[in-house]
Amino acid sequence: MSLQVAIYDQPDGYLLADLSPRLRQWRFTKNRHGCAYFTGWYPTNSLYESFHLLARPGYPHLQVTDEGMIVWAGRLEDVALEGGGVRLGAFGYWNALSDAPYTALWSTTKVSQAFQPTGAQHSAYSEQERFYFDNNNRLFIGLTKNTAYTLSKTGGWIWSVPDKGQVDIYSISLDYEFKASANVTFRVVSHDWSGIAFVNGAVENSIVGNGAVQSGSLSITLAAVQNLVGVDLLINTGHTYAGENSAEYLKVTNVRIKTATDTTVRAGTIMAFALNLLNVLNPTQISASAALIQNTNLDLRDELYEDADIGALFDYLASLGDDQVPPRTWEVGVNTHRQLFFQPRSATRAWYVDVTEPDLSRTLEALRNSAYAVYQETGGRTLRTATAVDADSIGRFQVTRRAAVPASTTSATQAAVTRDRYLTEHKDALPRIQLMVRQLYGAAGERWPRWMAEPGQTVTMRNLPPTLGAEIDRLRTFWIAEVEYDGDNDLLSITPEAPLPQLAAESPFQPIGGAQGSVVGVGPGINPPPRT
Amino acid sequence: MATHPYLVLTDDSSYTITIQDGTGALTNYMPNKSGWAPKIAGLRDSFLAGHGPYNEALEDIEISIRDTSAANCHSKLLLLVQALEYAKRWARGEYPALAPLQIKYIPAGSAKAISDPLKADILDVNLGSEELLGLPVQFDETSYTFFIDPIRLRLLRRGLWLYTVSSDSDLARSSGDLMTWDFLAAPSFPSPHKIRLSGYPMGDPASSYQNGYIAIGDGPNDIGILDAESLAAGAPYTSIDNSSAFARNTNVLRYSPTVTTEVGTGDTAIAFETNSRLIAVYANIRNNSSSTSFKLRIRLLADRYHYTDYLPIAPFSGSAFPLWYHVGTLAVAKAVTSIAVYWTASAATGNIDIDSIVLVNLSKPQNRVIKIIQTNDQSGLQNLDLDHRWLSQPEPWVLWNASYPRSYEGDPAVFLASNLGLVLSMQTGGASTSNRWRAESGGTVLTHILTVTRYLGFLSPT
Repeated sequence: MSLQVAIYDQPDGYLLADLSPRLRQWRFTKNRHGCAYFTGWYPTNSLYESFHLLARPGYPHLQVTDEGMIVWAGRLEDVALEGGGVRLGAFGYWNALSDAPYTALWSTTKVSQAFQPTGAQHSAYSEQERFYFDNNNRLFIGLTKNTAYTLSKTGGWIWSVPDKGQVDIYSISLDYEFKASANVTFRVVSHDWSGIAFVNGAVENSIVGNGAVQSGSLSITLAAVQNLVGVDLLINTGHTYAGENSAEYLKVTNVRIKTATDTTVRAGTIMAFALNLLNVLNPTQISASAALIQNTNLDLRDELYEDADIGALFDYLASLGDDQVPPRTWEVGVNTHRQLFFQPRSATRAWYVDVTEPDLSRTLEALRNSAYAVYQETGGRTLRTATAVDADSIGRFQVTRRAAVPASTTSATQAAVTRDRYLTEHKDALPRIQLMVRQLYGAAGERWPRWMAEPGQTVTMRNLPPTLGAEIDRLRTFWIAEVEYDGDNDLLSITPEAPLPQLAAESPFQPIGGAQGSVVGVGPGINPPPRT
Repeated sequence: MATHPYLVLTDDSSYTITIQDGTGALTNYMPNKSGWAPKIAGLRDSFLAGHGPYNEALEDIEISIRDTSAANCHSKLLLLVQALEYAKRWARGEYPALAPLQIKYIPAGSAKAISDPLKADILDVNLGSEELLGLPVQFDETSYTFFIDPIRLRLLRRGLWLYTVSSDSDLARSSGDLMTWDFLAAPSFPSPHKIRLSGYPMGDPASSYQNGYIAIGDGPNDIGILDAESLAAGAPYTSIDNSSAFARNTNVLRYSPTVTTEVGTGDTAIAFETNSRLIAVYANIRNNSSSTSFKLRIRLLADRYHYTDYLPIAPFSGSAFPLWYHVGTLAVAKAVTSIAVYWTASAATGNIDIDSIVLVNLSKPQNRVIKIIQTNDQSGLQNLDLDHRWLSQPEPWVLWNASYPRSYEGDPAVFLASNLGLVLSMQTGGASTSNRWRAESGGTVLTHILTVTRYLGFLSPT
């Protein structure tokens, strides 16, 4: 059993250097995203050798291997000349998710911010000044009294995908209420808009007025994917409208625009698409394999990203939970084979350690045993779900601590899931523990190499007697948040899971307002993930 | 038999510093009366590869240089300094084609001959100091004393003393079959062994040899091979003839999914080291579907069931061909008695094959598995050496055709403690197509002749 540390020009590529015989002061860490950081130092015998790595372009692949098993893998990003040798700093392939920003619409229902009246820049036939518009929780178009309407002119609402977005519109669904004479036709239109006013868009659906109220629901798959979709009133017969303002009208509600071909928009599907984008850009970094990307059954209704950091995006998607009751905790990361994984957390391995002097404390700082979610209606007004509580936690700690949990959605169902998942993660007062481990055991006492422990697994301090107190069972076993392996001394340090910050702060993908076009973008403070 | 100690620093070429010549006669570099005895190296704590199992030993030898004139003393000192300077540069890798300065030693009363003493590379000189050597304050008295005294040599050497080299070879064996050697007597301590396989293929872009593993076991049962088709017991797990792709034992185990939930085989016994408590599992696998992905778990029965983590196998792109995978590493509390395979398919369509499952006993720290990477820059069938390069170079390597260092993952510095052991070459692909379960050329599975060359290693001088 031995650990080799080596660098290659790329995974499974040329061996640039087997550092094992000379490496010193080396250690690596892993966190919930997989391999995090590696550092080490080795002496060199000449300035040329020192500069060999420093001057080399690109990101060589650094790998720690144990008899065919990849223990740690990442890309060598930091090379420093130090103390007569070279200091290396490598980061796991999770960092590769920051290689390119991501812009795409997947689904939107937010009519108040997403749609805008069709202007001359969109359509050569637009006569928006002759119609009345409002988008207060609806898309409304009304005719105005004593206005002469010209044949073939239109007034409408349109929505376009973000400029240079990765996917185009696949479908639109809506409820409508339409009342107009036979001079007017209600249409659903689409177009592949290049920024120049188009003459005729594709008509996906049309209903001619008949003087009476016509209402119903439409669920339309576009004949071909387009980057613009809208609803309008077409003047099919030129006339002067003598009725009262907006007595003839179109009212559209419950709008949803999707680019996904699936009935539901799910987190794993979004991840697979974004991953493919990265792999096309940099094929030697993260694998394009989606074999380890599972899917929640949660339908995400408002997912629109502009220049988003993909790592932050994946963290956000993983924080949304799923349709289970209670919602499961999901984890996302990149494994040692550079494959993205997205899966419900489950204890794939349970470790047992003996501790002599545990450095352990319990804090209530992050405790929240009551919560409600804050979301939006389609018109933008802020809504709040009912408050959910964890009675067991309230009874145990004799205090109710309530949180307002932001949820970037117009769906009460999705907001409730967000609330419940937050409650699941914060209802226990998690311990603060630092463990130095000299031996790792399995359930039957079998001895494992110390570098096998990984975040997302559990550790039990097996030599703490159960008679220490009622709380002992909650403190003795915990999820691993981070591990650090000291290669020089063969020592493992384990850090337990801290309260997840994912839902404690503002979601990075909150709508930031605006009356037209796509608006959900990168929020403040969302930069490429800090190096861990 | 050496009646007196033998202690010499030499590179067997340009530098020879004789401290004790084995006869008790005076030398120009006499050890002082305070005497010297070698250190016993300790067990290395770090698992870092390339070093061997023992720490280095820091030898502290006090000598005096004596001769018939001051000038002669100075010239002896010059030779000593040149030797130490050479040793320092060699250890830094500045002489990739030259031998190291060695410390050669035979204790008094040993049966060893001066022609074949205990040897160790010198890895550093005057460790912890920036100077090569310190001279005594009375150095100027050499002009009339004709000696320089004392001179303290602080030499860092490899922890193991190496003694006499021997080789053993096996008959030619097919790729994918176990090769063995037997020296009849075990070394006293895990000792460096060089492993050579003849006829190992390297491919240029025109050929299709795949990355492979070489497993080394330090005992007769440390590598176990299971023909996977023995797990077949009817649909969805069937035994399929794939001799056309040179499957080992002609058949492979095929899983043809009808569901997307996990489905396993029954247990099948496997012959394997009963004392093994840490086991690495490998398998060669071919996904025959261009759309269905699969996830594999292998289950070992050892007091209870132990599962590897999921290994995903992507759909093929272009054409289907097999590859060797490290499936997982498991620790167990008792002997492994049987094995089972569990597949999960992403769709109820397609199929996937396994030819062989290999277990390697990692309870013995001596055992090795090294991945040989095909970089498509050489072609042919030549000797592949896993060479520790002790008494030669500071660092081990993998060498092909005696000239070309190869890319690899693992530790080619092999230290074994038994008199006999096993080597297994796990490689897929052929000279003209990738769809070969075992390395093949011209319609024939490649054969290798294993040659093992070892030094006997000692921690204490004998």
